[in-house]
Amino acid sequence: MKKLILSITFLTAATFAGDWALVANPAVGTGSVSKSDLKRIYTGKKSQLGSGKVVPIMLSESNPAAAAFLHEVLGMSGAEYKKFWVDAQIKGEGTAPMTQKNSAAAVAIVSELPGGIAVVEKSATGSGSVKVLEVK
Amino acid sequence: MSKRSVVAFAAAVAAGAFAQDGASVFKVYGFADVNFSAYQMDNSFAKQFVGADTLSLALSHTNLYFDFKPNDHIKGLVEVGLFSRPTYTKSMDGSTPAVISYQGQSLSDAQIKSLVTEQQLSAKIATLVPAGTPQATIDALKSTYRAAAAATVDSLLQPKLTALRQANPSTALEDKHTISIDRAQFDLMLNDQINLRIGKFITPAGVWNVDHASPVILTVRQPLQTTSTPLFPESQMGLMGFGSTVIGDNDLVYNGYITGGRIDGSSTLLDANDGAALNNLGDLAYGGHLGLKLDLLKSVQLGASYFNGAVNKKHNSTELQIDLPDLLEGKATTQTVTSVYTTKEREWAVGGDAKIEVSNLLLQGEVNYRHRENEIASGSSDATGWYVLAAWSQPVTASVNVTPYAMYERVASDETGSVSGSFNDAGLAGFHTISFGINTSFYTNYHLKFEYMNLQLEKDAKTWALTKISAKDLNVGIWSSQIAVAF
Repeated sequence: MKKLILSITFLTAATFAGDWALVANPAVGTGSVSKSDLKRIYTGKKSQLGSGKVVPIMLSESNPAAAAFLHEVLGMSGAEYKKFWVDAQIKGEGTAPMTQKNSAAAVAIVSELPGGIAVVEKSATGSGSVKVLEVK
Repeated sequence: MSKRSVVAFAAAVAAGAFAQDGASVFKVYGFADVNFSAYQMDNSFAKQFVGADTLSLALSHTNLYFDFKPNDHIKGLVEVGLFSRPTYTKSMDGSTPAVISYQGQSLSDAQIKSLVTEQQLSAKIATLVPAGTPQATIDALKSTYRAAAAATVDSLLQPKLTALRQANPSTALEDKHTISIDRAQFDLMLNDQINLRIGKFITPAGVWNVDHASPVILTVRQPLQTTSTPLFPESQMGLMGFGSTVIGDNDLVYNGYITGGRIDGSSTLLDANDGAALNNLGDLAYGGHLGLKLDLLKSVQLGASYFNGAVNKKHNSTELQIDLPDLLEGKATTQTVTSVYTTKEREWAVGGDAKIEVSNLLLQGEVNYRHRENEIASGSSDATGWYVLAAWSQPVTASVNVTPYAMYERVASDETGSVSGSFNDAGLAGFHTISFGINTSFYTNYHLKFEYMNLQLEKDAKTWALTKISAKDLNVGIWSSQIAVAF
């Protein structure tokens, strides 16, 4: 039983370990963002941080870092997030953030895109000329 | 190759991939649904409100969205729909008369009068001759009195038959497939707080007037107060300001608009009367919606809606003034064209909505009230509608979700005099429905729904004072299924 509990704990930790980070174009005029604002940005309810526009970029939902981000910040599974945007699109409320297959591609775009912010794997934050935003 | 060049190259490649991912400035997407329904009715009375056939299978919607966003500040969205909607045509002049039946046979006025004449004759002659009189003698007597009897029956019966047919016009049902522009809106996005929209947009009222597409609607049939008998306009054309702001951890979402007025029924492309007739600024409509998204439970949304507008319809009356001597001399005649109001009314509507999610449980409800006042003849109406919906969303696998639901709706109308969109004209005082169903979603985009709805019509006592309609005649059971796809 103890083994089983340990296994479940390990699996849970592996899935939602928070091994994600938020990177931004250096021109984004803030060093931190609240979880509630981040939720608004990734659900299309907010398009500004401070006085500047932000362009959110997401990893594909199958990426563990994306799954952890969705669970921790939006309270959604990958399937729920996909459904959320299919519904929003049909309601005419907007279209989903652009999606990248891996962190390197997301970081590369953010480094060149004014206002770009991206959810990436924590291990990818050292590459490219981007800054890491603190999520409060 | 320098590190900077590598990054730039990677960015260019990634940007290309991003364009291929579909996040380009121009996107096309949409939805479609196929509906199957089986109606259970004891009598034909309810058919005039719900459908002509016992069974119905239809490709009800195929809607395409054209989404254009050239930059962060401008966005255009055009939704074009191909839809099927049954349309009733009424014959009020008696040229397509209502059927009057006798012993299972439908009879014309002449047949009815002939039948009654023969009955009257037989009764009269039975009082004149003794029993056992030969049939030949009876036939001769009938022949003698027939003309007088027919004239009497005609004078007594014909006015009644005419009145009866005019009071009960026949209806014919046509399946109307047509193309509509459900919305054509162009947004100027300034910031999160203030944005502008111009064009034809869906009225922001309540929950389910905006959520009109089958893949995002839980039920097969939306509450009828948002579709068949819309208390708020389905869509409008004009200018809207909209935005949102954060209050603590809560979001306040707001919009306000000035428009040309009510547009219902997904008006067709070629409909010249798309929108209300505007003669002055006083005919403009205005309204808005205020929504509060609270940081409570899984999700709590509360809203309030208001609309105030004119319901005007006009037609051109053409008159030729012909002076006989001028006509004989070949001179031109004078043509006068005047615009005449067929409808001139003012209406206002107010509503409240709530959507609460707790874990897998969804509770949703709306209450709406509309007052309409006739400005060229005596008449007004007060319509009230509300519904409550409860649903439980249960994931079965990562790609399959099952949601059983139940909904109750009530709409009632109190009317005096003449007013457009009258429930009483349709012979109703209101209705209520109760629905049970299950919505199964597959792979996010596919939905299979099964639903049973019981519709209880409430007859208008004045309209049907002389017509026998039982409780069973007013009850309809509808079994429905729907496949809806978002693409």
